[in-house]
Order: sequence, then C-alpha cells, then structure tokens
Amino acid sequence: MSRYQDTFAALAGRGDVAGATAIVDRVRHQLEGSQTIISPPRARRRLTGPVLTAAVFAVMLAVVGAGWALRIAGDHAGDATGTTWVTAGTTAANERFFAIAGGSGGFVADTLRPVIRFSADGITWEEVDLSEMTGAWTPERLLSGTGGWALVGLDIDHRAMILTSPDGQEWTKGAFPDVLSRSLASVAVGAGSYLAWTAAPFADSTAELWWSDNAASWQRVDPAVFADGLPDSIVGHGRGYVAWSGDLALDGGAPYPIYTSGDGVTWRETQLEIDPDLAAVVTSWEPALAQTVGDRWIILGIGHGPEIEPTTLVWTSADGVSWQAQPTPTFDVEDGLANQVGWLLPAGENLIAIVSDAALVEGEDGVRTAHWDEGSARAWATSDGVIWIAGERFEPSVRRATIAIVDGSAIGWWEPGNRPQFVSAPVTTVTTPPESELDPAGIALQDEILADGEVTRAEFESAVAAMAQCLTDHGLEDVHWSVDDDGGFGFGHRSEDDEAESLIGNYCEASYVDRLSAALR
Amino acid sequence: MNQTSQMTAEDEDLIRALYPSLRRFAGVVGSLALEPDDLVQEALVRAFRTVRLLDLEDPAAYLRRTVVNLASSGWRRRARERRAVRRLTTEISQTNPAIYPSDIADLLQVEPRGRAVLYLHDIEGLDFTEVARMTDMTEGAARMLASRSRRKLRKLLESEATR
Repeated sequence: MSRYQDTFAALAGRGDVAGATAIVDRVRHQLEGSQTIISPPRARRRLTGPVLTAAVFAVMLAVVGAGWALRIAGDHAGDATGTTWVTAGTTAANERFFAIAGGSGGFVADTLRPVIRFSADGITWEEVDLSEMTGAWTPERLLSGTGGWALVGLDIDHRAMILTSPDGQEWTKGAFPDVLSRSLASVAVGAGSYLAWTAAPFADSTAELWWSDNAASWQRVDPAVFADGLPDSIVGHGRGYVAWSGDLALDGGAPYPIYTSGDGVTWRETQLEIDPDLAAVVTSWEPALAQTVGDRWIILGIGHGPEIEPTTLVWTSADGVSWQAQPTPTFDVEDGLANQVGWLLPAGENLIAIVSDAALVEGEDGVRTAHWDEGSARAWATSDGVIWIAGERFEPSVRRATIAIVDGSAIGWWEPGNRPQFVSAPVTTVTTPPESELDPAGIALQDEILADGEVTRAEFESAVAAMAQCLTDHGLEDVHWSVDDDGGFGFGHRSEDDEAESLIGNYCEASYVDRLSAALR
Repeated sequence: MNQTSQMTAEDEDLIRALYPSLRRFAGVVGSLALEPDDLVQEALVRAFRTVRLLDLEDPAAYLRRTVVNLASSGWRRRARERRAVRRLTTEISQTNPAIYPSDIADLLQVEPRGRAVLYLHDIEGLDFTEVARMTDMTEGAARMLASRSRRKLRKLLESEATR
C-alpha cells in the first residue's frame, strides 16, 4: 500500500480549498434556500418477479471426509420453526442506541446518555445509570465475553475510560494507564481477560499492547512475542484471542501466519493453510472473524480469485494451534450475487453467522448492479464450522443492523429514521442426530460396507448413489453425483427450496455416506 | 423532508474543527469531477436537514458516512454516463480517448467506499472497528472491502507491469 500513500495524499489535497469559513457561509446560504449542488440519487428499483424466481439453485457440495452428522433438531424435513425473525419491541422515539451486545443472561445496549439499558428478552429494557462513573462521555465500544461486558468511551477531555460488568447490570469503572487513556485504539475481551492497544498509524512500531484481568491494573505485553511486530487485528472470543496482520493477503498456496492465545499473555504462532482444492481458484486470502464454540476454535476468512466472487473460507481447531481447512460453506445467495459474513456470534452450543446478501438493482439505463444496502440477511447456524444450517431471510441487510445473540435467542436492531426497531427470534439449533433418526437403510448399508474395515471405490460409489436416491425420494429434482479418486464426492440438484435441500442433504448424507467418508480420510 | 436545523455558533465551531479532515476525506472518496468542498458542503446541508449536528453521538463519523454515500451515488451516475459516452465514441470512430495509466487512475478505479476504507485504515491508521463505524458497514464487511480493493490495486499494478 505504500506506493499509494502519496497518491492518497494528492487526492486528499486536490482542488481549491474554500476554507472552513467559506463552507460555513455556503452551508448557511444553502439551508436558507439556495439550490443543492449535487442531485439526489436516482430512485433505484429492486428487481422482483421473474428475475428473482428464475434463479436455479444448483448446489455442489464437496464433502471430504469428516464424521459429522448434523441437522436442525427435531425435524429433518425442513421445517423452519424457530428461525423466523419478528419485531420484538421498540424504545422511546428519541432514544438512540449505540450498539448492542449479548452475554450471559441478557443484552446490553449503550446509549448517547451516560446510561446503558439491560434486557433479558430484547423486549423490556431497564435503565442503568452510569453517570456517577462516567460523567458526560461518548460511548465508543461495547464488547461482551465469557467474563461479562466491557464498555469503552471517551470523556469530555477525549480520554478513554473503561467500565466492566459481570452481568450487564452492576458496573465497575476500570482504569487505563496513561498511554491507553490518551491513544486507545481498541479493546478485545477474551476468556476472563482484556487486551487494549494504542493507535498505530502506518504500522507505527511504537504501538503498545496491554493486558489486564480486571480492567483496573494493566501490564504491557512484550511485543517480542510477535515475530513480525504487533498484529493489527486482535479478536477476542470465549477461549482467548486470535491475532493476525490484516494487510497480509497471500497468494493461494502460501500459509497464513496467525497468533493464538488463551490468556492474552502467552502467544503461539501458527499457520492457516488453504484447502488444496481451493488453491486453484483462490489467489489471495486472509482471516476476518474468529470465535469458539464448545472446545472448537473457528476462523472465517475471505478468499478472492479472478474467476470467483469473494468466498468465505473456514478453519477449525481443537486447540488453537493446529488448524484444519474446512469445506467452503454454501451460503446460498438469493440473487446469485456475492455475500458477506457480517457477524459470527456464539449462541449456546452453536455459532451463528449472519450473512448479508447484495440485491440486484436496475438503473434507468437497464444496467443491473449489486447493492449491499438493499439486500437481505440470513442467520446460518453451525456447531462445528463444517455443517451450516440456514435460517429464514430477514431484512434489512445487516449492514445497518447490530446483532446480538444470547442463550439461544437472537436480537437484531436497526434504525429506520430515529426510532430503533428490534427483531428477535430463537436461532436454529444444530445438534448431532442420533442414529435412530437417520434412514435405517443407509445405516445398514454403511454397516455392511464397513464390516471388513475397508471401503472400496465401488462400495463408496454405491453408497453415494444410494444417498442420491435418498435425496430424490425426499423431493429434490435432477440429482446427480460424482466420486473423486481421493475419496471425496459431490452432488448437485435443482431445487427452489434451498432450506429443504440443506436439511434433506444433511439427513441423507448422514444416513448413507458420512461414516464412509470418515473411514476414507 | 425533516425540519432544517438552525446553525448556531456552536455548530460553526464544530464545522471549523471538522472541516480539514472531512475535506481531505472528501477529496479521496469523491470523483475528480466533484470538488471536495462541494461534497463537504452537501454533507453538512443534509446533516442539518436531518439532525442537529451537536446532538449526534459522533458528528465526524456521521458526516464521513454522508460523504461516502454522496460520492457513491455520484460515482454510479457518472459511471453510467461514461459508458454511454464510450458507446457513442466507439460508434463514431472506433477510437477511444487514450487513458493514461497512473496511480491516481488506479485509485479512482476502486469504488468510493473501497477508497474510503483503504484511506481510513491505511492512511489515517484507524482499526477496522472504527472504519466500519465511519463507513456504515460491519467490521467484517470493511475487512472484505479493503481486501477486495487491495486486490484490485494489485491487479492494476500487475497489468501495468506487463504493458
């Protein structure tokens, strides 16, 4: 990026500078009735009808081993109960929330006043007065972790302060060392500890990283623990932290160095490697989000390539050190457009990825372009980072929303006008189905094949063919399949019900193929 | 249309404080056909027509988001016009005006929102949480857009190297 720094400076300084006084005069003049200089954007039309419904949902799943078997609890026929988002409540018209974060037992929202609101259900919000601790201040960050919440803001002298709470209702004022108070960049909440670091323009080598287990006394983290200097992205989660340097987008086959830590003090360098099947099409990639569910660490990344839309990549780890690339999630897109994962949040035994889709919008000249702000969003649930179960779509796009999830329920918030709106729903539950709920014919077939401890290609093909028949029997059309030389397989079909496809696919795969794939791996 | 706020002396002081950085930002995200001061002016006018500037929790972030939105809508409109001009030019002579490669031309091929993300993160040194606030997107989306924009710049550099 250094090549472009001077160019950015040139752009930033271009044109005749009117000066602040002239701008003040011009604004006042325009407010009093002068014409606007820039025309308002033309009305855009979102395509409906044939353009959307003509989409053919053709899904190819590349399954490479793994002994998992998951589906929505209680009903494998595709019922979406528990995934519909409904309006949960509103607050007073003039109250504006800054952010929402879910944690143990409820949600916390910070406001423009020195108060926060706490809610156990997303509907009723009780006020907690922080003014004695904060005075007049501006909230900057609301974070949640396994130890509770952290609220960071700036006082009237623009000095950073931090408040913490174990339950969202009782708050304690912490204390930053002077350097953090003067130049705090951000804070991460891990498993019972906090990390805070200073702003680092141009990767300034003077940036500092600090650790605390109580937000009141802080210790500086030795930067030498990071071989390449302080990383510029640190993500806190339920089992610690993941860190990396965000500017590092590598060529497809190169491993990506990251750092992980359980306590924020001891860091281990490790690497992410891309799935060899993807290396052919993904030419650059980098991590983006990290979380944990149960004992499993999960990182979502972004892969790019000249032939593909930006692609979500997944890695999982049992210890934060050894990472395995997982199949790319099939976050099916309504309009065949790119999508983006905006949030990755823990919810009980699951992780919920909120995926936002772009919408195709036709301009007056007939040119259709993708607009993120007019798309919709969908919650995808996973318990292992491998199988992702779709919830229903909801609008608006999460780009304008804050999402928080707590104890199996979810809440979103966005702000049409100045009146906050809330939606909430129990999120999809993902569990490993007991064998008794799978297709007995598939279980018997896998038992028979595995009896001699060997899976031949012919046997595997027969199982995949039976799985394809299972999909057909459950209503999928034009099911086709193939088996790779290395024991992987793929299948595709036509269906306009991608949720049913996902559920039925998991049911049939789990019944007929999963244990064989695991044996082949 | 919401009621227009009256500009107070406190508002004027706030504008004077925010103007230098906001103007630099407008210069980066706006197209060359747009004067940065015009973008700043329009963003301020729209802000006053919607809210009272001093009531905003973060006026700087609000105004930057407005500038990005204005630049994006303007960029799209001009992009369509350019296509029309190009079609017309091609029909007449089959000779397009020469487009000379330059770093500025490279940057202007990145969409305004992408330029905004790169500028805020790489030049102003904001972390992606802050960049997301300034550009009205999620942190993950900001990271993705930065990555996509860098990829585009790399591709442009590579293509220049082979020319």
